[in-house]
Amino acid sequence: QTAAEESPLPLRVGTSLLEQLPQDVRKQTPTFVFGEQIEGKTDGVTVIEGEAELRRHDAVIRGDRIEYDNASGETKAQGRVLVNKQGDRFQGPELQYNTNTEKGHFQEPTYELLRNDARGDASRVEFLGDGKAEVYNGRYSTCPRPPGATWNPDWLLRAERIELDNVEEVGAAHSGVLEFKGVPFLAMPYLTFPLSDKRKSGVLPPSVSVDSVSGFSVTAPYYLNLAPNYDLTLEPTYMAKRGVDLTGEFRYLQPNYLGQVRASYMPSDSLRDMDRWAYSWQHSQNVGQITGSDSLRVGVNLNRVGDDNYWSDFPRALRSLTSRLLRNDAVAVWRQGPWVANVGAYTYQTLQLDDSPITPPYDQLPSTTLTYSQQDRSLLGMPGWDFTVQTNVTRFRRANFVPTEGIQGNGERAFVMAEATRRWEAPGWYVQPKLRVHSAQYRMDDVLLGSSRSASRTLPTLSVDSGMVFERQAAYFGRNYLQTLEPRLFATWTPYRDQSYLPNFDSASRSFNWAAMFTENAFGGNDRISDTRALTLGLSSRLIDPESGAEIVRLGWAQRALLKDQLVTLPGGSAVTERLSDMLLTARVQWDPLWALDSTVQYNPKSRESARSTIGVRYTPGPYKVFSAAYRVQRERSKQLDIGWQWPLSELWGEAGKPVPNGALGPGQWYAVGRLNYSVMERKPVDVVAGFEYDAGCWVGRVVLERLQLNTTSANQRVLFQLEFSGFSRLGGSSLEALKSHIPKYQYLRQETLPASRFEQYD
Amino acid sequence: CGFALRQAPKFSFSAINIMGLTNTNISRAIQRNLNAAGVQVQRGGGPLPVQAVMTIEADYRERVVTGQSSGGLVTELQLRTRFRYNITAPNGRILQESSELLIERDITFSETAAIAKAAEEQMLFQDMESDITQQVLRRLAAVHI
Amino acid sequence: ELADKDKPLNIEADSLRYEDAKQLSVFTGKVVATKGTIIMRGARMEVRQDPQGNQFGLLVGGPNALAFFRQKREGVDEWIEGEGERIEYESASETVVFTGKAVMRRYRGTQLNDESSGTQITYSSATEVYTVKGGAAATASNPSGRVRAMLTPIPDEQAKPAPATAPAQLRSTNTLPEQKQ
Repeated sequence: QTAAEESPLPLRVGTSLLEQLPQDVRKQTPTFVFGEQIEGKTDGVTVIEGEAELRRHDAVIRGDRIEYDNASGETKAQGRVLVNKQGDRFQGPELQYNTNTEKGHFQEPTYELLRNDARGDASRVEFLGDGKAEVYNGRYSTCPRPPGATWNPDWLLRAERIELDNVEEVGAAHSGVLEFKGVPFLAMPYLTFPLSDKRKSGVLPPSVSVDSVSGFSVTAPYYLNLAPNYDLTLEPTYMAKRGVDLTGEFRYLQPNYLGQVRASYMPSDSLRDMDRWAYSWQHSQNVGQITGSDSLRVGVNLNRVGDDNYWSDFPRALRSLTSRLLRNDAVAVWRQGPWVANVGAYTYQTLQLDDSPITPPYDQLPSTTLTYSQQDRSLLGMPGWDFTVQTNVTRFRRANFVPTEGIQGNGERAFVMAEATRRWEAPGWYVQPKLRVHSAQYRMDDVLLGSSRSASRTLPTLSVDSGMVFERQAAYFGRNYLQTLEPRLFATWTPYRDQSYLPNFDSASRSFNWAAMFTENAFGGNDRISDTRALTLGLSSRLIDPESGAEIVRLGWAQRALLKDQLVTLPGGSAVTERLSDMLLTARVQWDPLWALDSTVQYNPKSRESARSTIGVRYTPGPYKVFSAAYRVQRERSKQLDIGWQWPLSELWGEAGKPVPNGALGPGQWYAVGRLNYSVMERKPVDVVAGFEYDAGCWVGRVVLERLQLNTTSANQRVLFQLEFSGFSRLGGSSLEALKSHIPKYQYLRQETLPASRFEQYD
Repeated sequence: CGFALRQAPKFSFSAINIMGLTNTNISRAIQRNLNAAGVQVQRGGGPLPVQAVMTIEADYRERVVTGQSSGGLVTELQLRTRFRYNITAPNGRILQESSELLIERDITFSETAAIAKAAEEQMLFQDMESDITQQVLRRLAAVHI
Repeated sequence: ELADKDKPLNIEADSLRYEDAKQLSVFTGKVVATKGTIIMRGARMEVRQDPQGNQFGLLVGGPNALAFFRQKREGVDEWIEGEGERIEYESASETVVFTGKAVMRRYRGTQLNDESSGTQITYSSATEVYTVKGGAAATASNPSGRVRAMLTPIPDEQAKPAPATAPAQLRSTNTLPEQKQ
């Protein structure tokens, strides 16, 4: 009796069926055979006839007649043979297969693969063992096979030889032809495609587009899975009116660093008769091993283009958020205990346009910052104080700047900011005083600052933030809530120092919002510290659902009272003499999961006008259904209406689709999807991405109209067609990114799903 | 009018495992607040028996252009923070379904003031993170084991 | 074993009745018959011998017990066991036919190796070939009326039984893979 047998076997609840038996157990599993008649020789060949069935742990074979050699595992089956191997099913007239080596071949089979719901037929299938199989002059598609009817799928891959590798979950077709609705449209000598969601590979959905600038153009992206942690996506684009543009994106992932390089090159673009190029490189690395601690990180973010019109001639090609201001910076950050040091070069490439010029922001070549921060230290015998000391030295340069009168030139700035704060708090209230001293030193290359070329400014700031939280049970419209009332008082005091003679490298006015109302400096950046002596009173109230604790309604009101005029201004700005600031009203309501309303209004009680207001509504009644609209106003600057929607159309005329796992709302569904950004002041749509998606079950078609305003007069209008074969070509295409980012709750029609279990396709 | 000073939140669990993205700003703030309220927090699991397991599924920021001038200049940005989590009992029973908190802040933008706007964005992201932290703590207090 | 063919057949039972007309002896009541390594048990057994000395045995199980047959295989430490409502044994061709809830098992030492069941099983210990036939009659134990067999792979001689390794410790995880920011 070995020890294992004495102690009773501890049984534990298994959370799932066992997909794979361990290797050593696999060899001992018995084989079960059923049939109308069995004739066998002990330890020899067993012949089963009449609805014969052979069951093993990982394979089931059925047929009219099965011969099985228990010693070698050789199996022959004839007559309506079915093999179910790990969920993949093959059916055909005759099979020869070895259950031990998992090798063998199958004549004239039709097959259905488990993971991708893919199926097809072939003249012969060769099983090569350890999860590999080869399909000879066969057809492969993920379109369903209607029972009985002959199978002609909407799209299919026809190839002389298709290798299916279930371990790598990748398929490869030799001299394959892709057909859509019977029309061959892509022939490739070698073509890889994914067998499951896990691996993206091979052909990505081709997209065809017609637009006023490039004419008819086709993009056929191709994905090369070079290694588990490297991949390369090639996106050749043929444009009828302009030529061929090749874009490549290489991504790499290592334990200590990762990044991606995206480069585009178009030889002799006939639109402007010149070569066009653009590249972007994002890299971040943890250079830990050199310094011994993993606290040194290096990051690079480069985005450059060949000429100033690149952004409008290649809409959506650039990943930069601001299409005409491209960041190029490199940063090293080192952390050690309370110290954080970072050294960086931050430059911009600005794409100028005659009728809307940009004064580019300064480049910071270099900018070094050292920050020391300590939490919960004791001061004057009192614990709980937080200290922060930040020093920064930056050299500001304007790109290719020629010193001219009235234009602020290059210079250097060094500043030290020391801060001490402590938060007295209890669940119902808090008080947080903060003392800050900011001292800056300037030196300009050529312009005189008053008497000399250097100047300095030191300013203390004292602020106290305090607030209380009151709660009560309350009932509104028949629902009871936990209602809170949260008054907040913020006082700040900064003396006046004339800063008009100082240069302004990086200060600007803040947008008017809740957080900005409770900050000390009216200006962002470090070059202007406003002499704000003010009291800001805020009052917010929330309705909270007692059951789930979710915040249903939040209303906010805040206003700032200046005790003295604010004389410090940005260059060209005027002093603030208005003692009572504009009121800030915010409302955020989500009375049921379907509706969400969000609004911020900056209201001037005296002039009864609103300098800035936004109101946004989002309605999400169900999966794949969202409608969001937002109206944002900056008085005299911009009035923008932003609408986004994704809506299944079939429920408008037919019956609504029902959610199907990994199939949106089922096959045969039309969806209207789009986003419209309309400038009310200029009375024209500025950015439109709108179109329709058709989900046919095994493929998704997409037609999208894109309209991008290039300048005040002209816009680029583009119609984009896209075809995506479910489970065959993973999603790509830039117009999808636009939809995903602009429609807050937009859902791809094919989300990643959990890997299928072999017990789902069980015989 | 019935208002009373807020009392300390009473959590129905004395120890909790926090799994998934346990190292983001929001998850660290939640862990700090739970510790302050006397709840033992085990980041990534641990020896202590717990009454609840909080799994943080997603915590990421988004920046989206919501306003453009006709010359391709960006006038409005929307900053979003998404935080998705679920709460289960140690044996897997769902205590709070997976829910996503989506918080948005609008911010005006101008290319010339890109540096100052970058600093302002950081301030707004921190403000959103403390907002989400408070909301998640209130939802945690509503969990009954 | 092959040697059983020439071994004497001795039978014990509660009572014996000999019918000279049919050259038939009928044993009833806890019949136990042995012939070399063959052992047969049943409630009633009829034995007939033809002039050439070949013996024909018909064994019938009792009301709640099936007739039982057991024989050692040639040259291997393995035993063949079978049960059925009726067992017919023919020494000439050394075939045994189990009919009615027929089950045949093969033991390697004490470990059950193969097992087949059906309505009728024919086994010839000379050629070691067995045939299992179904029948239209779907019995309670065999609803599909089909025959079944379980075949265990032959362990390779040198492979000693794998030590009972502790099963891989699986920890149920309900976290998703880290979300790349």
